[in-house]
Amino acid sequence: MYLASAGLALVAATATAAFIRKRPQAAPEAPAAKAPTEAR
Amino acid sequence: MRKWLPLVAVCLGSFMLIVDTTVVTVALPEIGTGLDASLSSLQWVMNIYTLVLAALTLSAGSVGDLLGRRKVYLLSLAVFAGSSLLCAVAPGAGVLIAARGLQGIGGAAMFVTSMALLGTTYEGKDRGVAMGVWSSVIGVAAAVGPVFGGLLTESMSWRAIFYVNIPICLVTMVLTKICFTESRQSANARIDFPGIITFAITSGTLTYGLIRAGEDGWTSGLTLGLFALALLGAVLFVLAERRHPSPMLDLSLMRDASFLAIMLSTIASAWGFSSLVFTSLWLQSVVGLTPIKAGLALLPLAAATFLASTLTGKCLHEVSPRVTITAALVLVGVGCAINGLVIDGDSSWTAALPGLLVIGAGVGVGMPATASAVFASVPPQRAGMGSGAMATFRQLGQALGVAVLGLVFAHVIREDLDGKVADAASAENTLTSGRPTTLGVLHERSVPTV
Repeated sequence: MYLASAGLALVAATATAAFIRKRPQAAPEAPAAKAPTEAR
Repeated sequence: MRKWLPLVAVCLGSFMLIVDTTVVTVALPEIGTGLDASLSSLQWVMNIYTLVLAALTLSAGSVGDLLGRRKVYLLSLAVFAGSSLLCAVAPGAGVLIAARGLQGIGGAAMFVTSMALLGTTYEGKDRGVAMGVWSSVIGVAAAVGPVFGGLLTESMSWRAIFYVNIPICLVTMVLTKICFTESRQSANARIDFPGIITFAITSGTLTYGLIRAGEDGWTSGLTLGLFALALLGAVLFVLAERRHPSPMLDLSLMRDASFLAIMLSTIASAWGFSSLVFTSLWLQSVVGLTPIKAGLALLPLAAATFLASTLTGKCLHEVSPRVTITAALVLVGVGCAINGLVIDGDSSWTAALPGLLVIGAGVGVGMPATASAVFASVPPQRAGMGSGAMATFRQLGQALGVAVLGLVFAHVIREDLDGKVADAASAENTLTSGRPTTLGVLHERSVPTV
């Protein structure tokens, strides 16, 4: 049971190492606390 | 310090939500006695909450984006407080089940909007710190829940576990009013009702199918029927999303290998965490610890999660998510492997400690890293959708893990008992699913806790 979980985690680790971008796509600037982001 | 008040508001709500999820597990036998409830009613006290969460998590995130995350968070707190009061005063199992369903609605909205609120309130290094602290609070809440529940139930009554939510909800609502301003998606977008309905059918039937698979077997008529319904729901969901002008899930994300890898890491990490359900079961059924002592034995894991989350949060801004998420999964994998190699039928509870510490560190590194990576992959106005997707995949990983590992656990127990007792099959049933407390552990832990 534990070994099955270990196997899945290690497979997923290989996938993340291969596919996750070094830096995720740059998203537009997020608003700071108390800074309204109303788009309306 | 004022800039961290939003974090306090979110952590307070999340702590209560996660504690409440696990606390019921321990109180279940008392609830059964107090309300004279049948075993199947007790199962539904658990299942209804899990199913509502599964059905509404993604939708709640999307609705939060549209109506305003602050508004939806406040509303979810009000629903959670009201339903907790209803749970506390429930005169019978029927009312308690209905109230738990309402709690699930509030819980789904609270969980995804709290994460989205953090993602839109903080940026840069602050976001990493906020995600780290929030993840550590969740990790601790998941671990102390059973202990807390046991203490409250033993010293007062099972009803106390629901009463305590009310003042916490009220304080969190006041804090939310003070420290958050509204943020939402463009006014042109509208609520995707076809998507909400078809996703609720898909996720609800898939999760219930996994619960039934763990109990009735993977090939029972009900299990297969539920999986077929889930497949049909998924097809209808994709069709609905392609036609809707503002779909609740941006399907183009599913063609992004990087986003899919982040989701796969969420499933694998949640699957690894679900093995702890059986560690808890082993501690109670085989080692012979009480539920509270079993909860205490799992506390080192919470401590490791707390430390790792806090430290990871501080350096998230400088390190690539590829490195942090991969390292987290390697730690979870190594921790599970240690447990697999060390624990056997004659082990004491201390045998699980090394593996638990490594798994806890992995979960602690992975949670803030994954959350940060998700927020960096979606535009800020769709933060609710991003957190909803992550919570949904995490829940799928836990439900899948509990169902599949449950089969393996039962098989291992049976092999171990074979030849030692007269009827290994019925002994195995007693150890794995024959008692309300055990059922509670199995089901209640399948909600998206960590």
